[in-house]
Amino acid sequence: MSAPLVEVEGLVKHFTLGGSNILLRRKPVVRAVDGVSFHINERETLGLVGESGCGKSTVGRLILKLLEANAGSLRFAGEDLLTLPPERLRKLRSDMQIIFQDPQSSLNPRLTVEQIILEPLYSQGARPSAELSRHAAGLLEKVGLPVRFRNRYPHQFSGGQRQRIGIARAIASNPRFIVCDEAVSALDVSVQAQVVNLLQDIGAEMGISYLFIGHDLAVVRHISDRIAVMYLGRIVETAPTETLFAAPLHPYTRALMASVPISHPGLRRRRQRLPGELPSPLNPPPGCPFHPRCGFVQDICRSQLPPLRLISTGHEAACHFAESFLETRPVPGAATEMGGYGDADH
Amino acid sequence: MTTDSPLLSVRDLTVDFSPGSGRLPAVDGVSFDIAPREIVCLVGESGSGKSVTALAAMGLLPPSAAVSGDIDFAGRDMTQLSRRQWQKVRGAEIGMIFQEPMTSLNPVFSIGRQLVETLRAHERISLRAARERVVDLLNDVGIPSPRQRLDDYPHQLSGGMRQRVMVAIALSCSPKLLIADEPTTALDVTIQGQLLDLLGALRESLSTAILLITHNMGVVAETADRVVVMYSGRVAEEADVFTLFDRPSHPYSAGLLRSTPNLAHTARRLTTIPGAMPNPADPPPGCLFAPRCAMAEVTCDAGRPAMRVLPGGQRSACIFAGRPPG
Repeated sequence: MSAPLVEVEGLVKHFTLGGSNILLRRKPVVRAVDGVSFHINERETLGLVGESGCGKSTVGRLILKLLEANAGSLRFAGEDLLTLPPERLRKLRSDMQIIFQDPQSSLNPRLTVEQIILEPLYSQGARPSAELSRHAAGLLEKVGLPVRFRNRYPHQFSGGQRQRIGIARAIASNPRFIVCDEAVSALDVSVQAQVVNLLQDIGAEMGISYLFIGHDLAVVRHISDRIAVMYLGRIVETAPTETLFAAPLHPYTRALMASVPISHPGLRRRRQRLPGELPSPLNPPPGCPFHPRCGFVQDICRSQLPPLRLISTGHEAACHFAESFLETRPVPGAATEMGGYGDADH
Repeated sequence: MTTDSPLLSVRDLTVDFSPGSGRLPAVDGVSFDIAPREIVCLVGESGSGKSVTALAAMGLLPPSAAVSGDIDFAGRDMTQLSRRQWQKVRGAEIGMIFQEPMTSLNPVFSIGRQLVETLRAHERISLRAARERVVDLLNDVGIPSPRQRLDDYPHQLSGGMRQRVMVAIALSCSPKLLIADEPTTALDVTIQGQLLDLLGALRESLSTAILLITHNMGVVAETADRVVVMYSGRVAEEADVFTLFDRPSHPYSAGLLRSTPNLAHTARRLTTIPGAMPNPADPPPGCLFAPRCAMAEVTCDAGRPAMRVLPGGQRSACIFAGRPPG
């Protein structure tokens, strides 16, 4: 097997709060990303899921070097991004793109669609030309927008169309890797499905690897080959998509699956909901960060941080008792319908 | 439809923000009922008119809006109410929750003070008694150590806790009807589940009817007794929740159900509804959904389809309703 396209090892990002307040002797530190490791293969889509504040978006920005990591290593196509000289990094940037959640604020309102789409190429030194114009037309066609829209401005488009413009811009430089940061979360359902399918088609056609960051497990499942689940700055579980849904090994993953709204009113039943809320990343609980909300908590969980361990082929979990979930029946009917975190039978 | 006399009855509601302009009205001829204790979901995508319908039912439309139709609440004609009379009704008989609790709560007053204020605006009650009631209310909506929380300001609470405070304020005077506009949209999934459970439990314990506005079919599946599906300002379909999910009678509801990704079907490809919502300034001549509809025929362009009542009380604005879905 060839080397992964993206390799992340022990990535750490802490934000210091308090600004320039010299009266604060010890400034509070948010441990947004606290030792995250994963890889993404060529042509593979890795889904990164978690709730707000878990650090998933920070991971996306760290990989693209939109933020500087405090520690860890970061390799893209074999190059060490953290030590790469700036001009080499600049070259490499055309291989790495991002699609943001809000196409309203991520498209420059004063540029035409064509200028927006071609911006990544201009920033690499390209100059406007008839050839580039043809390229832009081809991109518009690819994302399903009429070419005659090329001279319009972002405000003249609907949310779904703007997200298509964002996709056209992301693929303009023929990248190998795109970070989709909640790229379809702001869209209406009927449009969301169109954009998800478009991302899949383009990925397959152009051989793009995606890091698909999202909070909606159902959407992430549709697009991802593998999924990593984050909680409070750490990855708590990662597995091939279908393995994860058939046999989730971390209590948080199980809880997250049980929280996804049901698909039919016939599936209503009293479910045990995950109690409590995400703790503050300013002051994470000792031991396993999930222990205050976990229904399976033991003494060891309160003092010892469980490392992410390989449990079965390609399936890692950061729970002291991950193996015990192999024994229990998977979340009842996981392959067909979720709903059983802490159901009566475990 | 239930046989009880409805608590809220909306008939032929039309709301036009730019009358005479030729644009589609934001809400166009919407009718539905809510029975006491019933949970009705008003579902639709952005621009469907669902929030404007809710604002009308709360008497919160700006004076510039041209409103016609009837809104009956507990036997009263609400369209005749003055502003003062509305203020008496809102908070006391109709509670409200909005999507973003941070903008609905006043940032400069403690949550205890805001709750006490609501109580005392509608009831003659001493400050001390009001504070005790507030502690009970916060406890009912699942806020831990409520007595300590009384003096907290909104920014000190998480999004989920703020929304619980909103629910507590909305329920403080035991309203007959709670109108909740996308109450869980800004919340994380695990918190969303907690809040939906809370709303369901409150319906049981307080016998409050709920009008829940949402774009999320999963939320509908979890909570609704009956569902009103809106598209471009009009009702596309109304049905009890089981009928809607089993036998949608409008191609738009069917498409919405199919395009919602869920954990039950594992197909890698999502079904989509092609195209987008019509431009209100340039609407199609007949059925507003026809340009996106796979079933559409020439007859669909001949005027807006009238609402048909199907056996079992399902209502549909599709001229093919009653035929097996194509």
